[in-house]
Formats: sequence, C-alpha cells, structure tokens
Amino acid sequence: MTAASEARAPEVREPSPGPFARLVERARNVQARTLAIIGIVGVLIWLVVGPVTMLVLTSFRATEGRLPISPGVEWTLDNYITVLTNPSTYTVLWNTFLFAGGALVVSFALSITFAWLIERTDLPFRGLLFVVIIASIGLPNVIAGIAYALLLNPSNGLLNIPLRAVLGMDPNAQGPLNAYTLPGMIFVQGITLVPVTYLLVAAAFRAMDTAMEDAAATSGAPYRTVMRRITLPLLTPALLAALVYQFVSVIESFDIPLVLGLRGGVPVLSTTVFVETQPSGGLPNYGLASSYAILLLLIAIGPLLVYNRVLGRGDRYATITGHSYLPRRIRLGAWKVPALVLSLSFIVISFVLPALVMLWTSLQPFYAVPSPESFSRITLDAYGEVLSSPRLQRAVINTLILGVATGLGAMVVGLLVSWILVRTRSRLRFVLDVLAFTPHAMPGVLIGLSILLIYLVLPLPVYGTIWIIVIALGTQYISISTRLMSSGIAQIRNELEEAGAVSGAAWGAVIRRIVLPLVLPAFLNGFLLVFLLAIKNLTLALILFTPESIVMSTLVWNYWDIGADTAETAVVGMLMVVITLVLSVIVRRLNRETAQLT
Amino acid sequence: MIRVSELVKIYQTGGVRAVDDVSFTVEEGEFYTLLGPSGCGKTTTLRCIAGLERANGGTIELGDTVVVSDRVYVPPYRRDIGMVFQSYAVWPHMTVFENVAFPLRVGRDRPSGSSVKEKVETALGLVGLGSYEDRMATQLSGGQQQRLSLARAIVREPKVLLLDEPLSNLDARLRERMRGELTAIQRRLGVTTLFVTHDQIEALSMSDRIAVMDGGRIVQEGTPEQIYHEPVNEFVASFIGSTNLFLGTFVARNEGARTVTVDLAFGRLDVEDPEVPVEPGGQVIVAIRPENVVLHHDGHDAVGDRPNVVDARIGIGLFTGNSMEYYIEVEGNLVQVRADSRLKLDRGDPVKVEMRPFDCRIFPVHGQPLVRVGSRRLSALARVDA
Repeated sequence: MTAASEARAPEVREPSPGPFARLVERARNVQARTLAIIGIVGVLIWLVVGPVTMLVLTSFRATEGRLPISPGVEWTLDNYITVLTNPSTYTVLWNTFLFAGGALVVSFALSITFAWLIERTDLPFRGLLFVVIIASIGLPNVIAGIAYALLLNPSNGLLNIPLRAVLGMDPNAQGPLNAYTLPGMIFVQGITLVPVTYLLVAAAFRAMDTAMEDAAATSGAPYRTVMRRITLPLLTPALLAALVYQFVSVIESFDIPLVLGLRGGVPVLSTTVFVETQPSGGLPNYGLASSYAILLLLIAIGPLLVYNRVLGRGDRYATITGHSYLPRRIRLGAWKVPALVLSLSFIVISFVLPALVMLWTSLQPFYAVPSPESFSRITLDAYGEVLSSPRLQRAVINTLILGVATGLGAMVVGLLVSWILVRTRSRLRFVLDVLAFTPHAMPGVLIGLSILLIYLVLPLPVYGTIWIIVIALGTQYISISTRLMSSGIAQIRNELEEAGAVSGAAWGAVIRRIVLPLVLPAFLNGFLLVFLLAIKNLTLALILFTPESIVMSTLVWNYWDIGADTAETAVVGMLMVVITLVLSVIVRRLNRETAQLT
Repeated sequence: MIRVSELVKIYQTGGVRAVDDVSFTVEEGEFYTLLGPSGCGKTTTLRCIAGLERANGGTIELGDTVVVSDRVYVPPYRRDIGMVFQSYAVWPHMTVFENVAFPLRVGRDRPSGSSVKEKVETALGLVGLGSYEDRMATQLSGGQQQRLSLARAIVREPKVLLLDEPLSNLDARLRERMRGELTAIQRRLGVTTLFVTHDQIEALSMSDRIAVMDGGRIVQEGTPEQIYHEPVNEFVASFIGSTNLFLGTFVARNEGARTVTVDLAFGRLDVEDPEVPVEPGGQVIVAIRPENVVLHHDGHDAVGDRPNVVDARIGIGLFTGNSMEYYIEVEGNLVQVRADSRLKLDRGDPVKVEMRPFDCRIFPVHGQPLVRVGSRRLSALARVDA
C-alpha cells in the first residue's frame, strides 16, 4: 500500500495539463488512429490492387515468352483476340461449366441430405457421419485427387480390378471406371466440396426457428407438406448464398482439375491459366495467361453480385425468436435402412477408401494390387527414404514458415481492417470493405499469376523465395481473416472500449489493453484456420514454385507428377494428411463457427 | 376438453424428468393456465399435448379422442388444435392472408376457395387485422404478428387452443392490452384453452383456473383467488405476488379459536389455520402479503388488546405511484407493508403493525426452506439506528 502510493507520488505532484496540452494530446490520438487507417488501406492497395493492375496491364501486352515490361514488348489486343477466337477456349469454358455445375449438384445433393438426416432425424450413427464429414476438411484436395486416381485409374485402379472380375470383363481391359474423365473429376470434386457445403447448409438448418415448422404441424400439415411449403422456402436464401459461395470455390478449383483433368485431357479455365504460365515445352506466355485469368475472374464475379443481393435481402426473413428447443427428430421408420446405406457408403467412399489406398501405397515398394504376394512385400522403406531426404526436410521447414507467417500476417491485417470496419465512421471504410472482400472473388490461379508478374518486374528480392508464396496466400486469405475478426470484434461491446477511453486510455492503449486480450481467442482460432488452409494450398505454391521454396503440397505433386514414385507420393501424402487432420480437429474443437469457412 | 393423466416426459440428455406425473383436466370452454418459473415443465407439457414432444408415459385426451397413450401417438397435424408460439412463428415468405389460410389449405377436409376467404376474413377481423390481408407477414409490427399468429391458430375452429407464452415478446403496455383482448376473444369463441406463462399477472387476470408447476409437478391447482389467497406452500406463496415469510416455531393449537400460536423472531402470533400438520416445537413458515399487513401510525389508534399487534419503526419508504411500499423494522426483522400512496411517514417513525390471524398462512418446513426468509442485507441497510 505505501509502496504503491510512493510510486504514484511524482505523478500526483505534476500540474494537470492545460487546455493546449490537452489539444496536443487529442491530436496525437487522432493521428494514431488516422495513421493506422491510412497505413492499412495502403497495405491492402499494395496487396490487392497492385497485382491485379499488373495482371490487367499484362493482358494487353504482346509478351510471347518475355516479361511484360521487357524492351520491345508492345501494347496489343492480340491476347484477347486469341482467347476469343480460339475454338479450344469454348471447349474449356464448356468443360468448366459442366465441371462446376456437376460438382455443385453432387455436393449439394449429398450435403442437404446429410444435413437434414443429421440435424432433423433419428438416423443411427449420425454422430459418426458428422465426424467423418467434418474431419474430411483436413484432407487436402491434391491428396484426395491422387487417392481417387489410385483407386479409379482405368488400367490398374484398385477398385477397377475387382469390378472387372465381378462384371466378368477381361482382366486386362480398361475401366470400367475412370477417374481421368469429366465425370470422374465431377465426382471427386463433388465429394471434396461436401464438408464446407454441409457446414453452410447445416448452419442454415440450425438458424431456422423450428417453431416455424411446429406451427405448420399444429396447423394440420403433414411432414412432407411442412418440408415443401415451410422448410425449403425458408432455407432458400441461405442455400442460394451457399451455392454462390461454393460456385466461386469450384470455378477456381485447381487441384483436382490438375491431378485428374490434365492427364485425362479435360482442361478447365484454372488449369489453362496454369499451363500457359508453365508450358511443358517453350516459354510462358504471360499475356495470354493473363487474358484467360481475367476471363476466369469475370465468370467468378457474376454470381457473387447475385450473392450480395441475396444477402442484402436477408433481413426480409428476420423474425422474432422465442425460447429455443432442440428440434424434434423425425422418426425415419422404414427409411432408416436406405438412409443408413447412403451414409455408410459415403463414409467408405469419401474417407475410408482414400485413406486406405494412401496407406497401402505408402507401404508397397511399387504400386500393386493387394494380394498375398504384395502383402508379403509390405515395407517401411519408402518412409525411411522420404524422411531422410533433404527435400522433405526443406519442405517441412518451408511449410512451417509458410503456415505461421501467412497465419500471422493475414490475421493482423484482418484484425486492423475489422476494427476499422466495425468501430470507426471513417470515410475509407467503404474502400477497405471492398479491398478486403475482393480476394474472396479472385481465383487462386489469378492471385498466383498476378503476384508472380509483379515480383518478376519489381526489383525486390522476393521472387523465388518462400516469401512470395506467403504474400500470395496472405492476400488470398485476407477476406477470411477479416470476416472472422469482424465477428470477433462485433462481439466485444463498444462500451468496453468506451469505458477504457473514459478511464483515461489513449487509442493505442485501448487497442492493446482491451481489444487485443478480448479478441485473442478469435485471433488464435483464425490463425490456426489460416495456417491449415495455407499448408493445404497447392495452387499458389505450385504457380510460384522454385526448388528453393518447395513445400509439402508441391512435394507431393512433384513425386506424383514424375509418375514412378507412387510410394513416396503416398508417404508425403500420409504425413500431410496426419498434420492437416489433427489441425482441422483442433480448429473445429476450438470454435465451431470458424470452421465453417474452411 | 383436455384430459392429461400421469404424463411423464424424460429428456434423454441427463435423464431429467421435465414432466413428472402430471394430471389435470381442462373443462369444455375453460381458460386453464400452467404457471411456473422457467424449467418447471409447463411448456414441455403443452408441447406433449400439441404432439411436438413424445411423452414417455401417461395419456392425453383431446375431446373424445385419445391422442397419447401407451399404444397411441397421433401426430400434431392429425390433432384438432390451434397453437400460438412465443416467437409467433409467422411465416416470413407468405402474406398475412396466406399465413392464416395455410391451416385451411393443408388439413384433411379442405374447404372451398370462397369459404377459405370467408373464414380467413372472419379470423383476421376478430383479431383486428382486417385490412392487412395483402401485407407480407414480416411487414407487421410485433403486436400485429402476435395477432396474426392468433388468427392462424383459431381459423380452423379447433377444439383446443394452445398458447405458449404468447405475450412475453410484447412490450409492457401492449401486453396489458392484449391480456384483455385475448381473454375477450377466448370468451367469445368459447374455445377450450390451455395457456402457458411465467407471468403471474397474466395467469391471475386471464384464467378460469391455474395450475402452479414446479420441478415438473403441479404443486397447486385452483381458481386465481385460491392460488393467491390460499397458497398451499411457501413456493406458491412466494412465486405469486410478494409475500413476507417468517421462520418460526409452532407452539400450540387453540381448538376453540380455530387458530394456532407461533413464535417468531419478533414475538408471538396467532394464525388462523387449524389444519396445519405440525407438532408443537416443529418449524413452520408464516406468510403474509404486504397489502394485508395493517399499519397503525396514529398513536391514538385504538388497537386495544387485539392479537398480533407489534411495535415497529419505519425503515425505508418507496413511493410506487399506486401505493407506498414500506420496509418496517420489527425488532431487527424487516416486514414489507403496502400502504396508501398518500401516507407519508419518515424513517424512524414509531408505528404498530397488525397481522390479522385470517391474513396469515402457515406452512410446515420440509428440510431446508426454499425461500430465504427475509433479506439480511436489506435488513442491515434499512436498520433505523444504523
């Protein structure tokens, strides 16, 4: 007590600040805030506007194997003319639409069915089904693609061989199933879209006041009528929003078109952009690639505008809520059997088989069908070889740097942007909002290409290092980190900050001493989520790939692309899946809400 | 008519007996209320009657139809009921007209189009929404949505009307008005009504009969007057209205005077209740409502040798508009007294309080008293010589 009062004594003796001093103090506070806002806007312009401008400029340059600002490169419309007059462009567009539409139908049909079964019925083992769906979030798409390629390749796919025997086909024939086709791609992409689609749809089911359905039941409507006249119409806005969200995901999807589509001769827009930047023969044509990327951007943006209109009308459906009840569970009765068969098949097809085939392949010296001989050949050699290779060690270290740096960077920017969006009346808010949302609409290959272009041109020592991938991933995930932190900050009542201010804390102190500690849990959740997304990402790591900046996802792809190293592919794949699965479970545990954005 | 017998509902999570052997009968045309704090099982009982929850035991009859028993479970849409939800559950994707017409259009016997229009208009007219037919339901205010919800519940002319806290989302003024309107509509239609609320004023003012529920059981059933004036235990006494509760010791039964004598912390009281099952020396609780405590503030007041008069001093007076709420100190104990709002007494003024034998209720104490008797903190703060 005495020590404390002694320590305070000098402060007490100080004369209270005069009006002028107070003005200076206020000006300093305003400055800190304003500077922070201007700084953040600058960072976002640098990250988002710069690369996109570069991309647009490049699309009007006659590059043909040169950099867009090399001497002798001229302005031109040729890239667009080539894109629009080349008949293969329309094949690619048609493929893209079929692929996107098909995958969305598969994932939404499954997700709506599962969401209804899990949320509203007495389906047995619904807890297991839920866990499998959620855990699949941790399965990187590139690995899912490889696993299905191993299962369903037409010559020696592990499912095709027994199927040929069952169907009485010639054992040396091809098929009957083939992952390297458009239906194969649609199926695999559809399955990999299920977890996130499920979370979006299930959230819509949960957000609905079940009294709406109860009211219809007590009005005399049988369950089917309730479903048709009440439940589905009320879910429609949320389902539409989920559809558009996932449309962007599937249009920009890269991993599965890369693994299955390129080998099967089914190019889509995202892989076309990639092939133009890294052609197997000849030099990259950045101008042409940029034109394709802009075509891709236009297709992705269209439905987003619709999405925003749907969201804008969302409050039309705002209703009063009463005490919430656990929704009644519908008794499936005789439908229990087909529902159970569907659920268990999904668990086996989407999770058990891919996991088993990766495990099996990783234990075989060369790719072989399970048989007594191949069982006797089971070996851990591939694990030993991969784990001792310097490439893997570099990839693991790089992956860690990538995950931590991207997570921290994206979350810090997201925190500051969100604080400004939620708390201030700054005129720059609108600009910030648009800038922070834009990366959500930007396909990964477009971000990758534009970042590549700008750092090829700028004399900064970033190209070829892991940091260019960090910058690209950070840019891509700003929209997610901002959304997460906005809801985190919105939950802190403004009064808590105002109480800090009236207690004498300046702006910086309020942020540091009150906001930061309170949003820390949300910040950590978001960090882990971005970490997970970043290390799963193949698109950006591959477009910006150099041997120096290899990460685990590109290492898997390299092994697989060579073709002979299936065991090594599977080993790295297994390592990656273990890491991402554990991470996804932790993220899910920490916060059910944030996992919805994975 | 609604007849519920030995109804049991156990929730799987935690095995809580949300409804524990509840039986009651609502007569034809009666307005019957389940009243209790949240978690007492009243809404679960209502939802079992609606068919929205499946009971684990017991039977439910609506009119002459058994809708719940060991062998029977009639789904909600086959029950002849109308229900109003706490959240109103007005469908936001339909107009006012479509909302009300819905029960007519999905039921088993669907009336013709013109008859639907007529019935909807009648129902909307009854709740005072006649001119709102073409509005979208969400364009209505909270009070109007509540009326719409009521119109939807009565449009089928159901045998039974179920009301689940329908007024709790309204603001105070509107709630007061809707109490009257809802009662008037129910009386006009003569529909058998089961009403669930935690609000004692709603229950007392609207009901023909009330069942007070606690812990999944009915603790008292009776008319509003019986519930208010003759609570059967300290829970009912303290849950409904405000009540002074004093812990005391049973002294003796006075056969001739039909009273019993009780020792309290501030003196001896005679209480008119010869039936109370307590032996001399046993612990009891004495309850008296603040408005029944008589305040003698004029020194010349002739109290004579009337029983149950004790000396006291004014502690705190709170002016509430329609009354004065005095907290009066009686030998270190605090007694709440409701007096005329024009009565102006100052802190420390000496008064006499009288607790007439017929105004006091006496309950045996089973184990720990549910209600903490008196507020020690307020007593300490209000003490005159503090």
